[in-house]
Amino acid sequence: MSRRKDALSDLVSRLAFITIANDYHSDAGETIILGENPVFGDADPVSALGLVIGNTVEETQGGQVLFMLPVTVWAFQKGVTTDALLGLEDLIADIKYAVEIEGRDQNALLGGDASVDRSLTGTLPKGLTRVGTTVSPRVGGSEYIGGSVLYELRFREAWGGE
Amino acid sequence: MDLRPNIEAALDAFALEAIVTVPDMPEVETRVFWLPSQTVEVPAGTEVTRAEERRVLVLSKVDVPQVPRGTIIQIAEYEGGQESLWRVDSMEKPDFDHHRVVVVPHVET
Repeated sequence: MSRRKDALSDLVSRLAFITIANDYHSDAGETIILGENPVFGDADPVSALGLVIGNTVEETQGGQVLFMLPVTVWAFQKGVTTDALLGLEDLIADIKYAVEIEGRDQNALLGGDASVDRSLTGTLPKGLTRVGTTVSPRVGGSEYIGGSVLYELRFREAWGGE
Repeated sequence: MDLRPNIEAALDAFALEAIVTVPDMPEVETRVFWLPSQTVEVPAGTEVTRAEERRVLVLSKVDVPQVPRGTIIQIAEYEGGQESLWRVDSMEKPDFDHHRVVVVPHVET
């Protein structure tokens, strides 16, 4: 068992909500890159998400280890129109909504999904915080725009893992 | 001494027929040619990227004195290809007798 793995899996499952069929602005959630750095080509999807895992900051206290794991959610989508900036803001908003709001319902007795809330995996109260947003404006000659949202996942685990 | 050849020599060798429409101006039938495209990774500064062609067109200043951003150019991407619309997105390089402009596929909005 790994809380870190569970939390990342939960994050990916939330991002997968980002589809046009779910009333988002793109289908970026259909292609989520985790732990890779590929370069897409013409035959690949026109929008995608990628999770980049940063280095943890860890502190040992007795038999417990507190750690903070930075995770950046990157995204790109086609945005060649003159209002590319607004498209980029839609993309950023989609990420925030999917990660922070989508499916949030802690009342599992009424059919909600208790695993989808701010705690990530339901075991780490308030373990997810948002700390920054960046945008990569469209450059001349390009059809694509991008941006990212940086989250911090804060965990407490026992010495030795669980 | 400036030894650059006149743009006419390059037009004679490489140009395709094109229709250039500068915003608020009548369209101009002229000759235009493509420079070899470069592959760039976009969006810049991101971790998830795409390989994309950066396309540059060359226009004679004699035929089209000004090529502002938003100018629409109808031209095939290669000889014998189907013509399509391209929008001037950036200036690559102004020169003494021609413009080099960066274009993207034109999307009607």
